[in-house]
Amino acid sequence: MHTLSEVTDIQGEEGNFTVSIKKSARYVDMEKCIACGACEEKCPAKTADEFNEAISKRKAAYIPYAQAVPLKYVIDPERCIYLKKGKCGACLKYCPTDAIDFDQKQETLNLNVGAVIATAGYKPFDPSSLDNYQHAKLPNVMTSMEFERILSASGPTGGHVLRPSDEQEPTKIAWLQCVGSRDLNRCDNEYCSSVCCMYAIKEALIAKEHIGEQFEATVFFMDMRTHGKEFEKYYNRAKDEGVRFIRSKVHSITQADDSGTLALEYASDEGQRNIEQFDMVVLSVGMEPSDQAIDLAQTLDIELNDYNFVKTDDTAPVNTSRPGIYVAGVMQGCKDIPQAVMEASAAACRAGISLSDHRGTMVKDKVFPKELEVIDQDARVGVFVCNCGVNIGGIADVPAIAEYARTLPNVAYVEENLFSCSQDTQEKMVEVIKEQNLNRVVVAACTPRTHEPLFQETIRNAGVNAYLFEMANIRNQCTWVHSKSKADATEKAKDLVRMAVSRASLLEPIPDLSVDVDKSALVVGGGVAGMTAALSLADQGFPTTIVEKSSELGGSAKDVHQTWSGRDVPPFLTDLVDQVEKHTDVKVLLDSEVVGASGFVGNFETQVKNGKGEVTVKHGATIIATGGQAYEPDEYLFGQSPCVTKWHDLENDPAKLKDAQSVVFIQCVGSRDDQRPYCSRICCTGSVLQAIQIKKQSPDKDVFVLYRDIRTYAEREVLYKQARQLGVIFIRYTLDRKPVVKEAGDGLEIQVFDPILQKEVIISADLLNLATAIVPSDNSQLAELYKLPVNEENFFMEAHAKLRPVDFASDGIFVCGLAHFPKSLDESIAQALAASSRAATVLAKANIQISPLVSQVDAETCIGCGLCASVCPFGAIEVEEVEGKGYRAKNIPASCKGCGLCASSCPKKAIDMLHFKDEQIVASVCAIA
Amino acid sequence: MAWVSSAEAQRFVEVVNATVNSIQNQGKFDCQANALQLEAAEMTVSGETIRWMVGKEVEITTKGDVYGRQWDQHSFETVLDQVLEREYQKNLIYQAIQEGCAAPRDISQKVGLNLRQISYLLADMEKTNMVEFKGMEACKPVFAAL
Amino acid sequence: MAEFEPKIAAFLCNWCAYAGADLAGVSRLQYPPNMRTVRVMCSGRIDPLFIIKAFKEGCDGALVAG
Repeated sequence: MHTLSEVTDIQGEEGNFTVSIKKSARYVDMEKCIACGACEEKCPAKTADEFNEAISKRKAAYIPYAQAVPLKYVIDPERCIYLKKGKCGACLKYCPTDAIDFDQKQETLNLNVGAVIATAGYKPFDPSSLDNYQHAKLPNVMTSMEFERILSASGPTGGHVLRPSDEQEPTKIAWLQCVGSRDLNRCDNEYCSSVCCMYAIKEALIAKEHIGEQFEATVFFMDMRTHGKEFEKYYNRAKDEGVRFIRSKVHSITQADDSGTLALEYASDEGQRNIEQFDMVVLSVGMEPSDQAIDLAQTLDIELNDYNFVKTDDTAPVNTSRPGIYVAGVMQGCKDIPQAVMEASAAACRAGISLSDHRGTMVKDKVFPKELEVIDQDARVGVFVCNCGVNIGGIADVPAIAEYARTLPNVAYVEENLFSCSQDTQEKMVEVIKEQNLNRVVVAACTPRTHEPLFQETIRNAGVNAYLFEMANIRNQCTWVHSKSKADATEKAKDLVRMAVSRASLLEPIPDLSVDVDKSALVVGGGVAGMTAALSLADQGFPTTIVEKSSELGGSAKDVHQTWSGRDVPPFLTDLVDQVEKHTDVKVLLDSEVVGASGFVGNFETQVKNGKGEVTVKHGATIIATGGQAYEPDEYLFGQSPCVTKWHDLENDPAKLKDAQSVVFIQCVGSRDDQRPYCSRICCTGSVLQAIQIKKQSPDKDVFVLYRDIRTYAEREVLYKQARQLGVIFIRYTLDRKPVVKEAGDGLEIQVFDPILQKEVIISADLLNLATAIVPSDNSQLAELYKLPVNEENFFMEAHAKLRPVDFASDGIFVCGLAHFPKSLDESIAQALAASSRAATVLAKANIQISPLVSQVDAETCIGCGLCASVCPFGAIEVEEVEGKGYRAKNIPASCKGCGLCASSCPKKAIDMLHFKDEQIVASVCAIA
Repeated sequence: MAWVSSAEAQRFVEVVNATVNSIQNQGKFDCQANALQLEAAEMTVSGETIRWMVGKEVEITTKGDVYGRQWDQHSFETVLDQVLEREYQKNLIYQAIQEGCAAPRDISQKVGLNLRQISYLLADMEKTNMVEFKGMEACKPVFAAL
Repeated sequence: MAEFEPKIAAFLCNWCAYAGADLAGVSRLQYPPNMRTVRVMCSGRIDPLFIIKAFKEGCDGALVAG
């Protein structure tokens, strides 16, 4: 990883690029820095903290934020007094590890790589140019990014919401949407930023949580765009919890009184002018391409679009104009975290295909000495107490702790270290372990979350099993948090060491666990998502089988004419099907269904049934891409009148369209209601696209779109604008006043209340096309077989909505396409590439190391009741028949995450967790007091 | 019991402060004086009855019980609380008998339950072979723990 | 009399509360020194027995944080 680095030049082509990188000096030796914070504490130079949106200060020696990776200090050369004036050097003097290095110079690196992925991100819109919102002048007008920091527990106010003018807790806050988005008058961003509606709702709800019941949140918006998975429910929840949503663009903000209270002027839906006071205003600022992103694109010589986002094609959503260079995230266009994460995996997939011939050629295996036998030997515990410079030693009495450790049972050796994690101490530790015949090691230092792997490797180097190791966290959870009371810190540290030694004495060696991987995949579903996933796996050399229920490939894309940005779909689809059929590593099973499944990551077995009988497919990874379809409604005369159609039926029947004079679209048919409380995401764009087509072909036709909120997110917003310019009439309706459709002669009569005119209007329509909800295919059997969770609307549920958008909680199984949630073709393709990339992380290895900290069933005590199998969230326990014993529970280590739910629920206490056995936990509990 | 995410350092501190405060207010816990209660509690949470009920909670509240009846979280937990209390009281009685309180009146004094409850629970405990009726001694029924 | 200083067994999930406690350290937040952490891989691992055990062994309180 190269931080503080910039790409300055790139030469060559796909498979062989030479990238020049300018790497600025950090002035901190990363090997030596232990992130203790001494430099920061002593540094006299202060400046605005960018991470906290300049609300607080930071030092010139700093860590950008608490979770920074790598967690190492950096010196800001623009602020450092030593670097500017040659005087100071406080950090140099106080750094306990001599990590400060002012001699570091800027370096130029040349890297030889085969593929490049650009993820240079965005910048938030700067609203200071908007004079009607007075962000620069009025302290209580904040941007959403600033407010985000105020809400954060790790932010400048520790999560206490205080308004800047008088540091009082606000009770009334207004959020203003579309600041720097959907706006060509006051800025140049005509696109929708996609994420602001959702984050405004989130901020409103969290603020309410922090401030309490009396808090009043108001969101001023144009269209509420909660088009993501589970987003609409969140919006509904906000309404239920009293967040007020007002459909209006605030005209101006002025200061109402000396305390800083603000007066907002806005017009209501009925056209009435209102002035209302708020304690604070949050501007929901949109996204813009960052300057660095534009520079990087120029350096990489990749094309940008009209808005300076990287130009891509809907059918190849992460490919840039230059082969071998891929893009992910907001650098390509406005999107939320799940979509950005999917694209990141998708880009990795593309790069993986490009480099598949070289996979694994640079991997080196590490060899450890043979492990010593410890079973049947008395525990000989070695305790290493770390000073961590002054971090521990400066507060707790380390010699006293070490002295105390010597008195504990089973302790054979005690040593104090200045820095236990330093390279020389590690080497010495190996020698000591060997010399003293230690068979258990306790290190009293920082946290196992960062340092356990390091010490485990050290003891393995001394021939001791990695699991005969325990840490006592006497820094992060002791001296750092009790620095004012040295005696208390010392006492607590002694207790923690005693607990660790007590537990360590009972630790048992655990052998490494790995499973062989069947290097092939199964994809369920032969639509665009399924085919894309299968092809990209096959292109990386992993044979893949597609199981398709129907008699042909293509899925719901067969009905689609063009993507939102105007790419023709039929030729793309024909080509994709052709590639799949011709690929030697893709096998297609049509008219086929999954009827049985077993196994775990790396080793699945799936039974597939078709007309010819049943076959068993063995595969290492599974991708679920079962798709979805448009729902068939029973309202608006659908199925009763020949004039009423849904989705693509209309555009696929040009003859019918030709004779029509007036066409009406109704949105949200079966979406966003009680039965399906989700937005189907793609329908607004779908209808707007069709409306544009009709208007372009025959400008004199009347086209109406009856909608609830227009959700043409991101650059799709431009279509909405284009439709209005072409004369498409948009009329908003609400759920409690839905349009009424009647037959009238050969056509229809549609009555709808127009909120702008404030009266009922009647439209004579020749055709009515319904944008009905997108529903998932029936997944119940598949969900049951692979033990996969679905949400209330039967879409498959990913492991983490934001950070793991294509993984299931169970390893080795991935999801993409409409089976996950309604999405456009480009998004489906990105998710399919992501799923195949995630699957490739499994398939690329000959075997997978799995954590051996799994549950262990005692077959003698087990009564085979199956409770453990039913509570296990990962399907990692199955009940199998044992000859002569009836049923017994059995752990599947590859699926087990080691949570221990089974162990704590077993009525017979027949299950224990390796490394966290009852007796081992009880040993530490008993050593507390 | 609290939920704290990995990023919520401030929240962790708040939880610690609240916990320490609350426990300081409750005063020192005397494990000697509460030895009987602790033993009974340990027996209760190790007992199969409670472990079964807790383990089955998700299944019963989401899919229904074996008779196909639907249980909501609240009604299930009400029953669970009742069973928990009853099991705990039975175990208290058991511990009291083990400590030599053979007659219901002695048990009542030791554990603070009324005689009626004790007789009722003893009958139940007899059925499950937790205790045994030994006979009458000086006009008092005498029980032994099994 | 000095205020009573309880000993409290804190069962912390490695992925959530334990990490939160580590971060409190990195941020140098200060809190009373009464917690004695027992790290587990998930709060689901915590058998109620462990809590009773803590009380039996002389702890004054227990905290489960996941």
